[in-house]
Amino acid sequence: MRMKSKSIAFFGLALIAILVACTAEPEVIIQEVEVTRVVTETVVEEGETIEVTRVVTETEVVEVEVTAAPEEEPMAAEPPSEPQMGGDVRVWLPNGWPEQSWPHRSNWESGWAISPMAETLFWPLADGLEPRLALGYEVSEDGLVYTLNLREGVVWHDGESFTAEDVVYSIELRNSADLRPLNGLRQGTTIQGMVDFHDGNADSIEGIEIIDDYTIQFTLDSPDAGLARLFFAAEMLEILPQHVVSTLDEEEVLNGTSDYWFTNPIGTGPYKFVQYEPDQFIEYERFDDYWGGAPMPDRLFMEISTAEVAIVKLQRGELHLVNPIQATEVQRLQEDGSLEVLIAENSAQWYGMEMNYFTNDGLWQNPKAKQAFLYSIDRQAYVDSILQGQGVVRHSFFDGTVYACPTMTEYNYDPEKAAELWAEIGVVPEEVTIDMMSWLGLNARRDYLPIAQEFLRAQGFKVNVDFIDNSLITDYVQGNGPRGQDWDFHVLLFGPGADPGGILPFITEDSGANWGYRSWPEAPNPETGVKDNAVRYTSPELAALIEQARVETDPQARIEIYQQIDCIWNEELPAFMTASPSFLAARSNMLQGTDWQTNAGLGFWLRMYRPGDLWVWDGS
Amino acid sequence: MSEKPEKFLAPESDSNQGVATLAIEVAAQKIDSPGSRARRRFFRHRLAMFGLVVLIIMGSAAILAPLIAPYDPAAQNLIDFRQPPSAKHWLGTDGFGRDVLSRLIYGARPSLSVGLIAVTFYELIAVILGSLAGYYGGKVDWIIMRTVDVVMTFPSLIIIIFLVAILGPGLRNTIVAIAILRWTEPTRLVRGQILSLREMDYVLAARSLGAKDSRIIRRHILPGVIAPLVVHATFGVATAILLEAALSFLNLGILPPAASWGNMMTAAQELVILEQMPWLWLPPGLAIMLAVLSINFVGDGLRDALDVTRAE
Repeated sequence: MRMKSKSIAFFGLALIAILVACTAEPEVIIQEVEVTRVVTETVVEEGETIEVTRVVTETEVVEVEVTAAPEEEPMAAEPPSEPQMGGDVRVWLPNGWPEQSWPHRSNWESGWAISPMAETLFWPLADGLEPRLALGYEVSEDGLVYTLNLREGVVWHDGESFTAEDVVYSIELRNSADLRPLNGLRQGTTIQGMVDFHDGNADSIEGIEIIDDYTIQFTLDSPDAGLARLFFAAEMLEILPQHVVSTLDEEEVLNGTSDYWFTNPIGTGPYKFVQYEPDQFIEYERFDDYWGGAPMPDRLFMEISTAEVAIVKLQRGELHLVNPIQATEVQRLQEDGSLEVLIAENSAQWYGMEMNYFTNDGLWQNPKAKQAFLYSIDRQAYVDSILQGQGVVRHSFFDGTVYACPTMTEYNYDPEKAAELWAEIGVVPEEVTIDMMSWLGLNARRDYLPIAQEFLRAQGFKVNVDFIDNSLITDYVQGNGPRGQDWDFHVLLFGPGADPGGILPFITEDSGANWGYRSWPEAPNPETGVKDNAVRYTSPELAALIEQARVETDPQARIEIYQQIDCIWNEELPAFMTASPSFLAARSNMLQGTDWQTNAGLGFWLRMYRPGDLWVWDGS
Repeated sequence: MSEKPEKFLAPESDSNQGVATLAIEVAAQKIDSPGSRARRRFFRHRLAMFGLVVLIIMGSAAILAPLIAPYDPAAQNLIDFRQPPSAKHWLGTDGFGRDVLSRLIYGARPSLSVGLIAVTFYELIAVILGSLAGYYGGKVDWIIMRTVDVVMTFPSLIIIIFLVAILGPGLRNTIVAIAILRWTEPTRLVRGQILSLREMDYVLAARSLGAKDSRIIRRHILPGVIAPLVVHATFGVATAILLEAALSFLNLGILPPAASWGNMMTAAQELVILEQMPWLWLPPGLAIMLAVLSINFVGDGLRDALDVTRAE
């Protein structure tokens, strides 16, 4: 018992210690202060006692308790209009640098990690293309020949000149049949010989010809309106230095195992690679010979940490930019005077419900069931609560863009209408179980399911929700998860992206695309024998329109075709839209050069600003 | 010895003095049997009593949840989300506008039942395998104990997460995953006890009288194993509650919309909630802490009470 009493006493003391530690502890500082005293002395003089009073001023060292932090002095000035030289920029790198080999890269985070040193031909903007290593292109009248003009005077970080050879080498390596793992051929399939080259049936791409050091000609099999935006400006087509990469061990390059990519890679970007400390940071330094003019800061650090740590470091002034942030953080960070929350409405992506690949018949092939599903759920309440108002409810694939259906039906929350539709198609909710899945990572994605579950339960359905670890996504959607092939939907981030022709062709099985727009299912469709789209949606009408839009080079005519496509989507609902979350980030007031709206329409949340544009204000 | 038996001494004048004295002595021994002595010790253990009271309250709340919870724990009110404690919602509301108090009360159900059922399940496995290994020895012992050694090298939390990921999240699978990873420790305990008990004279006597092995294990050996096993089980319940909380915190435990203390803590993954909305994570956190602490106190009490070498 004595031991027990001691344990309790120890536990109690520990609890008190924690509580005390959590309270603001007064800080003791030592100061020199001038003290004035009135001193009265008794003096015995010639046998007589006399009281003498005098004023004494002296300096004393005293301890002063400070119970609250001294108020910071307000900023003396606004940042100057002209960028300042010097300093270090520190930005957060979410999820680290998982894929270092440029030609093997498949995720955005790794692209962001190399973006200070690597460059693409163009930078896509919401309303056009910004020239980077390419200045522009010309198209022949029949739309079959593209002449690409490259920028002259560009040098690699080792001083060598950039030429057309580098561009062709980069395209060929990225699409090489010997690359392991093989990259999916998603764009550029209309270039003559591209498919043959990717399949290993040709040594070079027939339709790509180097005219001179700064001109390349691309010949197509058929017109391709999305070629420039989706292929020339492809986010993953970083241009490689042929004179360096071709000297590396070929096997290592093809397998992505070369040390080169994280020890001494070079590019043409505004920053030169210095070092990579795994799971800690990537360090870059200014490249003085950058074609666009050297960046202002001396160094740029991309720091790897969890989101929570990144926010704390931002508030402590140890990071300048955290992108992205959760919607729940917005209000709190907006109250911090040293920060600015960057918000851009997003029309390029939305959370949606994708159907189980194996659900190729039954209830969810009926568009009215999908409409009833949408009417059943108060998606605006989801935006207001989970997204904290930082998002917009979407009703069709292109909702929020110029390609949106002009006569769009809005599926706003209407449980009575939902009940009518369920009854009309003979669905008795009490007899139906709906199984939905989300993988972890984004809270906004995960938290849609409990809301949908509750609204569907209110309609009478039995609803199961599974949350699974990211590593199990492929198994689950391929029918190897705990529910086998008997599940209904999963939540995903979806949407038109940088160009309407990007993802859409792969929605319908009739579009001619013979591979999945996502990495699953790996197994081919048992009926057709090919890897096709995930939702197994079939619509010859939609496929015909998609093909029409692909070859239509007149921008206005293209818009009109996509509007027709969107009207079909709006009614048929191959996948269910939920809402577009805004792009949210937070920056220190010291960081300048972020133009947050520029790339909002692209869906590349990591590419909402250019690393070379950033500079640090020193506060003066 | 306590003073109690003296009160029952038979009068000298009793005509059947010898028999009466024997009966009284037997009665006296019954009164102060190991069981009653253990009970007495246990009920005098103040921390164990505290733990027991807390557990009784939590258990009652779990059983009577539909009667005492102010709201349906799954009912969402997306207008009143993340509201601080008020007269309407004593412990505030969560990110879906659900009443935190109601979820806390209902959350006791899976949290406590996972602990109790999983532990019962794996202690049963331990009794069977430990008995076989300890009683028969030889190859049986070698096979079972090497299996135990192998399973004990697994990092349990990671394997449990892996199993739940394969089997799918949910109450039943959480219990199964915990049970099939946690049986090794009590198996060793049972085996160790049986190794010493099987050499006891009364076991030899039973064996020489021709009793079957199953009867010897059941009637003569296992009763001697029960006491340490019960103590181990109590601590096991606490561990299982923590494991369930960890799994649910990772969204791999109890499925929504059901509440468990662990999945209520999931909200604490966001910095803004940690800093500004303690009502979302403090109540389930305290509930887990109190439950585990109480079970450990009860376990301490049982251990002290059942320790025959311990002085009164």
